[in-house]
Amino acid sequence: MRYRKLATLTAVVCLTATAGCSTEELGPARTDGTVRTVLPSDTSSFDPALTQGQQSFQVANLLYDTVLRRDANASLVGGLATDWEAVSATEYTFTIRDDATCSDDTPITAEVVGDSLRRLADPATNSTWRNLVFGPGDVEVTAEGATVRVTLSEPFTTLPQGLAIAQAGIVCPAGVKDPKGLAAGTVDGAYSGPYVVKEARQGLSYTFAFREGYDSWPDYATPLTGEPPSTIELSISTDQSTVANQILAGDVELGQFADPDVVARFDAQPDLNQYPITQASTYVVFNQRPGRAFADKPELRKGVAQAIDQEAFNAVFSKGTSEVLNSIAPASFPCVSDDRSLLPGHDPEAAKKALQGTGGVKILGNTANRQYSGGADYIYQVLTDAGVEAEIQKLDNATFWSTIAEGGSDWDIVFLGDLNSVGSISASLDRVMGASVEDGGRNYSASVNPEGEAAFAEGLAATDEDARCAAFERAQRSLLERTDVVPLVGGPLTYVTSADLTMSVYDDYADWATLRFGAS
Amino acid sequence: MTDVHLTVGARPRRQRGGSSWTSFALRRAGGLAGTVVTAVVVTFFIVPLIPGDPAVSAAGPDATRAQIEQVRAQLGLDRPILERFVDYVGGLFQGDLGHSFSLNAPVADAVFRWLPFTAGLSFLALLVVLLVAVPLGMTVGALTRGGRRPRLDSAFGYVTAFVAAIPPYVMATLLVLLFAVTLGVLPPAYTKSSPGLSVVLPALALSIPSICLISRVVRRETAVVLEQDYLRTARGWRLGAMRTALRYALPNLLTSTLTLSGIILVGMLGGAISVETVFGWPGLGLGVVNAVTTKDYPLVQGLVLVLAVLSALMTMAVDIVLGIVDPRVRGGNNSG
Repeated sequence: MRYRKLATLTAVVCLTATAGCSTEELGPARTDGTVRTVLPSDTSSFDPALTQGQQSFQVANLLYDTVLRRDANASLVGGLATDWEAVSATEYTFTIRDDATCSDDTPITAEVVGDSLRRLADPATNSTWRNLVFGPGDVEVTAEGATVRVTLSEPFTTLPQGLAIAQAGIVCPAGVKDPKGLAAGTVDGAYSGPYVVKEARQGLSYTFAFREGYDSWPDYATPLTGEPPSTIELSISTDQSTVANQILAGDVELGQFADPDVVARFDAQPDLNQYPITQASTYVVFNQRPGRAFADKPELRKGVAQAIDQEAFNAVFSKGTSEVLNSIAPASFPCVSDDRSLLPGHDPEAAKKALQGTGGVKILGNTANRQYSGGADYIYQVLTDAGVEAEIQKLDNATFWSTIAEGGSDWDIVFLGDLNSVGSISASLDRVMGASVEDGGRNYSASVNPEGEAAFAEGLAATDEDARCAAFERAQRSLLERTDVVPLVGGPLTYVTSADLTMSVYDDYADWATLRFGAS
Repeated sequence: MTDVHLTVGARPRRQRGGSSWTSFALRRAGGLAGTVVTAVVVTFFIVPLIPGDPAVSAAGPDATRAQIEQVRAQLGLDRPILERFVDYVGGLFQGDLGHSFSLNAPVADAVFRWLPFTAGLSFLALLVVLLVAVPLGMTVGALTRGGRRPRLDSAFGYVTAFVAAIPPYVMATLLVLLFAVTLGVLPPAYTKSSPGLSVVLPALALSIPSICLISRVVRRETAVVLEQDYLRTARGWRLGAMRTALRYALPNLLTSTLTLSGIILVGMLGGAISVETVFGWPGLGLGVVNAVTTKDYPLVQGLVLVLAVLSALMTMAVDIVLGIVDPRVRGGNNSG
């Protein structure tokens, strides 16, 4: 009897201990037209102009249609616009389709689109996306007939890409009239997209319902097939393993994972769909403000680049699953340099020669997740191995960004994850060249690179795509030759869906409005 | 404690009747008020010391310096801290805990949305603890009293010590692996469609270590009580094992068990932070984690304040129950 009890106890302990090693079986799939998913944090606002964070952009994609939409092969397709033209680098026209309606059945006319864009451009709205969409200059938006005309005071040829981001989603008149209600998701008629907010319990769960009769889908090169989900339910969980468990148990149909160890759990599940994307670009940035260790010392910056082995970094950062970058944006973005000869390459001996005895170097690390924390450790290790007297300070994600956004704060090297939601190289270039953060720009490094800035400005003024790309590539060449940055790898994100649920991904851009059941 | 039930039916003499209750209640109410005031002041002034700029966090990494300052003004963070404190305290008297900028909603709404989840989980876990730990501890205590069954005694001691040492986070992970991932009999996390089933694993994760802890205390107390003269007398009257245990042994175990349960319940609020994270359980603990991550000062302040008040209320409730069960506590000897 005693031994039987002992055997039972042993069996329970062993079963518990080995559970993690056993093959995980999928739970039963549900087909009631509802997609259950989990976000890593709350959606910050239902106002697309004020929304922050990847999870909020995905929600905005469901609720608001955009003037243009991203399609495959780095191209754009009409969203609410059927046609568009860059009259010049400062003037653009968009012809608005005549069959789109708001969630309160108000027709979406050029005037409605114009009002929404004017609101986005209005400094009083305080949208952080305003400059990424329209550029830093003044903006005039007019509507006449079916045409919306956008006139800029400064050239900004990436405007069409900007008008395709979720944050530039068109808000219907009811939402424009009630900004507080719009942000809280309580204005029923605010939505131009395929879904409406059915229930918003902030901090707990959100339910979105498909709009009966909605049929204003973009005219993608590959048409969408299957049925859009009738309902999308969101809940919140910060733990990726928990969400993975829910997917494997069949409790959730859609999840997103950055941790390669968690993603590996799905490798033995061929019935699940995986959509890996590069959601961010990681690269080293040097603080080049006067008096800092790497200011006016390109040979030291080159030494840092030579100390870093991108493949080794990739192994630490993402177990080798990330895209190795040639520049500061993924290769899928238009106009991104693919010239690896611009990178100094891994050369530990040369690095040691250049860096030996360099002291007082302060590295800031971001602990947003263990990938970023491990990456910072790698940078610290290779610099120490190269003879640099370095100290590392690790900060949580919000503190990390607020520290480098201060401008004059105490750091010499950071490696950051640049989440470029516009999908344009220009939205990454101005993080490392041009006006510094303390001067109202986005340049964290405060580097001064007149040649690169001139090429960048030329690209923003070029309406011809080839000329624009040539200019942007010159800007990247200058950036890399000066070693103002050290490109590392992409920040991977993998969407996992249940067997019967699919999603379209356009060049590292996953659009939740393309979720479909039963697609062929 | 062992002299309380020396004589069947005896009642301890009341100490100055109502005055002992008045004094006892006043002491506890004073303690509660002090705790609340301290929590309000400390949370308000300590939370802003968390590194990082909430205005940058709210504005996002793409904001320009001017936009960050505009957000700072919108959030009222550009005002002097004392001025904000006065407003905050004034708001508290009207039930206003502030406005969460990460949720874009009143903090009180979020608290009332999350509180039932944490309270339900904690009380369910405590119920499981008491229903399992007391009978288990008494049974083992009775079986092993006076040096009987030494192997059972040792095995019980080792197993409970081992399991009690497992942190709730690890326990939660093991339970998910076993019951959700491998066996697939319970949901691995909170699901809106079946909250009843979803609560089972988090409640077990919170309660199992506590069951081990309390059952060890109860076993020890039982072994001691059963060796007392009055229980030998009760057994001599042939009152039966069950009646003896329930009527004469159990009341003498309650003081220590209740005291420990109160501490454990308060501890469960802390343990809930990790357990709620593992199970995606939308309670106050998960809310605190998210609020700290986003530098949402008003939300952190509100949640910490509510958790502090809850802890103080629970401690007071335990004290009052102890005061009823054991009048000596009202005298002030065991006042905590």
